[in-house]
Amino acid sequence: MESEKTVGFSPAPPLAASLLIIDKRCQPTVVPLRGNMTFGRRHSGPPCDILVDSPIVGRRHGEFIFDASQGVYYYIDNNSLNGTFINGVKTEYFNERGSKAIRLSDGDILRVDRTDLNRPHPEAVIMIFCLSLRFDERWRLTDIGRYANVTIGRGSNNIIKLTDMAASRTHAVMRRSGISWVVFDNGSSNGVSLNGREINGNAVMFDHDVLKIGNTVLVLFGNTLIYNNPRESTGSLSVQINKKTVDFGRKTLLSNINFSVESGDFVLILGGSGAGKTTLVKAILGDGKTDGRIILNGQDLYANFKSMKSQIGLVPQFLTLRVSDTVKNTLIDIADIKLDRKNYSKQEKLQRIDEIMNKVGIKNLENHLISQLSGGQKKKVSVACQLVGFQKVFICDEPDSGLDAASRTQQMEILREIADNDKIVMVISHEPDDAVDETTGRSLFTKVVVLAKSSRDGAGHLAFYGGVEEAKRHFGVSRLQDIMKEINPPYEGGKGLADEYIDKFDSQRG
Amino acid sequence: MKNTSLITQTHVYFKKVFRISLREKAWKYIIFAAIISFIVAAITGPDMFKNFDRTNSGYFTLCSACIWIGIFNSIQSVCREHEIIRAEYRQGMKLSAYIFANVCWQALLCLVQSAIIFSISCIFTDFGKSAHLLVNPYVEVFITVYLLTFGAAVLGIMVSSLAGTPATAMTIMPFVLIVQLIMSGVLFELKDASEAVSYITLSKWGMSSFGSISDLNGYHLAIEEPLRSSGALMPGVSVMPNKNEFYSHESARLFISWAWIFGLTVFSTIVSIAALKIKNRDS
Repeated sequence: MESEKTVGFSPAPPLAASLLIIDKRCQPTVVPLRGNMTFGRRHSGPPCDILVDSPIVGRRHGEFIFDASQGVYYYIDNNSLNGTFINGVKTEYFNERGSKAIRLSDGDILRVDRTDLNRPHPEAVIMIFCLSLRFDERWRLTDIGRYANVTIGRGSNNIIKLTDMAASRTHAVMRRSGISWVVFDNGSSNGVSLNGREINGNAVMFDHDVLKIGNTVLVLFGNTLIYNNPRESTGSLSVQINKKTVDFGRKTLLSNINFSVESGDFVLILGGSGAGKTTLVKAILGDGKTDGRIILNGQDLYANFKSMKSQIGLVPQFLTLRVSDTVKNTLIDIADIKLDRKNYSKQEKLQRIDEIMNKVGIKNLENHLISQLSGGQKKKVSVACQLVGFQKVFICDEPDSGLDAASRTQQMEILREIADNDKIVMVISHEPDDAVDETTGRSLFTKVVVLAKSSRDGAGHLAFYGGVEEAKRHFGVSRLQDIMKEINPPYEGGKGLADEYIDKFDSQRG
Repeated sequence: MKNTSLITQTHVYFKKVFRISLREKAWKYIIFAAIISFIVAAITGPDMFKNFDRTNSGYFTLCSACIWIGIFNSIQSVCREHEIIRAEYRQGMKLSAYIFANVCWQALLCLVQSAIIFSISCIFTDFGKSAHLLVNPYVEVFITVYLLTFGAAVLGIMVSSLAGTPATAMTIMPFVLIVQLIMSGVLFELKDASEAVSYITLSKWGMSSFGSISDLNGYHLAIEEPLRSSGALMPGVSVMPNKNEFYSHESARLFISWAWIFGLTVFSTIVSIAALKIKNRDS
């Protein structure tokens, strides 16, 4: 495990929401959240949905409220005696019913404890709101009482050995300081958060505090460190665009685009000219303001653009490569930029580049200048550049343009293979029917997004989202490219049925 | 995911710029500098330090050549890569590292060019005849030539960062050069606003450096020579108008002038980074 590389941190996909509860028994319990649920102490009266055994928790201490329209959870403290701390801030009285509803995000820490959190009550209860924990997660307890320094990381020489690939070799160090600990980020690739906040260098850690490293949650309970061993995270992308306008809001380019893609999906984006394909791609890339949200692995891209932008890779239609550089040097430089020296040796980087070149089929071209390559080979280099950094989502704008039929199929097969490795690949293509598996004859795409320009508002709307065969049935066509004929306006050689298909899809969705 | 440090990225991009520049025949910039220097030096010739007019013109020509060569080095360096920069910025490139790498490459290229400019100039002109302030005129003139060429190269990077396309950059370039030449204070007397603007031009501080090194104020005008030989002008009397304070033969003046050139270079670097940040600003 030690020799393997640290991967870019992508919090686990938004699985069903759950609560990780840790009380005095030091035994972590994961409780699934299923809609509105009450939380309180076990007692003889009517029980709450989520029960804990702690005298400092009220009988009906708080409530988890599910907003189905937004798919998010809120928490309300029912004016309990001891209150609830959310990420270290105590909920305040709002009205006789309770506190204000507080929207919960993945990793938020709810705590019922004394007002002085640095001196936790022995009966304190910690609950972590999670969108990334599996109920069958394995938890480990390590007694760290005898150590002055506790190293945490993927390396085998650490006291706390993590299996999470998002953890660096020695990711963090906890140093005892009196009754507390000081946690140091050891120059990790993906950072360390303490009680929901990313630490800058180091931070003081008290009993009952919660560390998060990649997808690993570590809770300090007295002299015990409780932590999970997450499986390799997969990914999901949720696109929720209410409206994308330009020209000071006078012109709408996209309207009401909502769909979700899971890792492993190879998604075809279809649409006529002006339907908003490029605008959609830009919105997913976070390039330009959009009224909506792009949720990648439970995190809002627009709100965390700086840290998340590198998780979405773009293979542009027009290549962005320096033509006077060799293929190998191009990839080495990208690896040197994306993968820091501390966590990746030169050998590991070269090994990674070799793997990518072999996967994409450009190993034999490694010493060629980009200017000496054909259009198709340049596209492959462009794809390889994106693969260096462990991105979760790849968007390819016409990766098959300018290629012959055989090369188009080969290019699509490479992209499909990337998707099969737990990535999301989205492709704009005008020759989608060439992307077929040669043995089964089935389309390589798993999902199809069809954008159509409505004659009513001139904006691009979602005319379909779903599987390939479903798409063909929806539009009554035998080939994917015939969908364009259905939705394109008559002056572009189509039947002009865009509005009908937009309405049909809207009504199907309800 | 955290990206690699600024220093690491600058190193990576410097190697890249260096490698690509060599492949794209960077030596043509050196040949180009040699040709320009040869023409300039041949014109200024051995009589450069004969009188105020020849010295002033000689240094003005040298100053203009340095600025021209420097800007020409880099005017297309950034603007031709805007799409690549945008793509690499998304992948974690630090824009400041990219600019620093280009600045470092120009520092190296300009060092070679300055050595050539100065060497060729020395063939035609005996700088040993000139006055000096610190060590000897050769060292002082060379430092000025280098600072000017490098400053102009970074100015070129700035224009290139601001321009959207190579065509735009090449359209802007003549205007930048004209402003530099006019604002040197050699061709026209500068007053009020134009004088204020001249403070942010390399040519003004380049001429100030050359003027203070060679004690330009100490020279007599060419027109005095026939007057003296005819006896119309008494010895020790000069028709030279007011002495230019920027040419005063003082070490402090030279250091101030060099500091201005260096400061303008730093300013151009900062503006270049800011321009790229604005062009690639996050949503």
